[in-house]
Amino acid sequence: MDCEQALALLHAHMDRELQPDDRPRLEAHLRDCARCRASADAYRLQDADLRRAFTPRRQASAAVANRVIMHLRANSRPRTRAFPWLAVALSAAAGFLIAVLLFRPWTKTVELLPADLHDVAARPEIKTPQLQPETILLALATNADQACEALLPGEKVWTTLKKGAAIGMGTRVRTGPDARCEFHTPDGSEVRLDGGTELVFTEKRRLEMAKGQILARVMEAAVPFHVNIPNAVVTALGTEFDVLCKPVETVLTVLDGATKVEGKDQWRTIQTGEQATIIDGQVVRKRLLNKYMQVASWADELYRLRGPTDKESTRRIRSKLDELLAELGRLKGDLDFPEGQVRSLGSHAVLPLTRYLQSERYKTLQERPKRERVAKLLAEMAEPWSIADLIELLGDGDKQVRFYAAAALKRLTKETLGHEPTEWRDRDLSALKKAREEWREWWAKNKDRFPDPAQIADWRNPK
Amino acid sequence: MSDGELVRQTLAGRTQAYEELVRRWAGRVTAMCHAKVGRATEADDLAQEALLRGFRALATLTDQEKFGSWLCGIAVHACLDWLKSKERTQIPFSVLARDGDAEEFLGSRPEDDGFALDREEELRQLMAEVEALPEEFRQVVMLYYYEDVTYRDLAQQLGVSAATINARLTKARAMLRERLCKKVGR
Repeated sequence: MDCEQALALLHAHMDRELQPDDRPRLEAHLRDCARCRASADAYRLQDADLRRAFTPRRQASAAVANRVIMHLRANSRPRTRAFPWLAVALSAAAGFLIAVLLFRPWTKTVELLPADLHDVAARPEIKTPQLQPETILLALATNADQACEALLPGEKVWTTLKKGAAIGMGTRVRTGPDARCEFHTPDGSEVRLDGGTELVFTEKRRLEMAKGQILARVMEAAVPFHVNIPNAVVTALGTEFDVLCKPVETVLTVLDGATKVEGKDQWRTIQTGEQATIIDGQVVRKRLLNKYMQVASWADELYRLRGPTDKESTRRIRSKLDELLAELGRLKGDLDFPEGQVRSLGSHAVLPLTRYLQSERYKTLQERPKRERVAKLLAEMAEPWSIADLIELLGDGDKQVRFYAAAALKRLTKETLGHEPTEWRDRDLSALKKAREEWREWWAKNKDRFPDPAQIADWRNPK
Repeated sequence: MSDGELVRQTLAGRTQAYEELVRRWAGRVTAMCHAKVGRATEADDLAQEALLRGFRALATLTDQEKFGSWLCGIAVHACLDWLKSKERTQIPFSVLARDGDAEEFLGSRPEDDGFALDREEELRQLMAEVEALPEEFRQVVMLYYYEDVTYRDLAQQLGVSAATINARLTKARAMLRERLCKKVGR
């Protein structure tokens, strides 16, 4: 084999496309040829760089898909007919709005609703209550005892806020060291606060950070959304970003879209996947992160409170899982398997992991160790609504995947239908054909005992 | 579920089926547009346009199983239209330079004022070199790195053999390496 032939095989090997017969020939050539060994190293580095360089493009194509889907949905909605009584209704609404603005009820009291914070965790779906104009709602909180406190304008005493509390503009809020919470502003934007954060909601689309960390998801509007940090302002138009405000420096990470950082005498644009370090109003460092979604992992706890049927939660978790699964595809072995990260996503990870196992693309010899790790995780994490998928995985070509699917079924249903999980690993698949049919029949008879299928449908096809 | 089945469901009025097709094909269509026009921002807009045109023209698709290649054809047409209109509207750089506006124009970009050339800049240069490859090689690099695809997937999409994909990727990477080495050495 000459160097030119070896080079082609080298690239096939790097791309996990090398035919088993070619491997000994390539290895023999590399043992003898120092020049090709050096080329191999250089091309591996280049491949890693290319993957990094294309990370924002992968995100961009996902954003293209989202935009098209949003467009399709917006245009397939039925148009509202102009009813004769509409003008009357609008006049009444305008009158109510004027009355609310005149009397400004939100500046007088903090509305505390009876809902207990513990209820939030128990309820899978959070419905955003109707907001009065110019009020900000505490939508979620993780710790009932020390979740969030508010200092109303002109007051000196901090008030503990409970889930559902509405506050007005000019209110200063802070979180306890181990508590996290989420506010919804009148324009539909969401601001999540990590523990130990303090900020003021100064205007409808402006807040001022004193310390701590926030994850903001800002709705698109004609007026930009501003976050004031020491000596600089972060401006956003329909985007998602994380701001960590420390005594000396502020770190801004953009998860989706673009933001502008305006300091004393300069401004910088920070885009998806980029992170900027800002000191004294100057962007002193800007870099591209490979795993930028992980910067805001602290907010996962809040997303989990929304449950698997929440579309925003699903979108975000999916994005993180895409990142993780892309990483899985790149891993040469299973040693670096990001098990901790997958576990941290809780039940949200179950469906994407299942889809990974079902995907024909990953049913290859090279992927086998990773598929088995994923199957093992799924055995521990699968939820009752994944029983039907687990039954189908009993027919997987990999015996370990079958074993873990059977183990998950046993855990969830307390049934084996006469076949212990080890049988699914040790016996030939053709001998278990009847057993798979029995599982399908069992599911048809028993599925009513498990969560509502409508809820499963929502989770699979979030709107 | 196959592309053909999703096309049939869409034609039967289930728009969500087309959403699945969009998710499945957005990466490859964007890569195809990026390879054709060599510019990322325009590629995003053109891919979006192609995906929407595909939805509107779906009833004209005769072989529903060949949705992907049909959609890529629409994307290529959209790119060619854009390239033609660009030829008509583009102001030659030399015209700007005569008036002394070119330097001013380039200098006004906010990212150009002495920002440290760090890792991010290296990756940007690498992408610029990919965009500058001859189209045959640029296309295979874009399609390969936009999504985790196999040689077989690419070969099917481009109508060539897997060995050709391997040869083109090998050549493209060698060209990139050579070009970047020259830059560093300059």
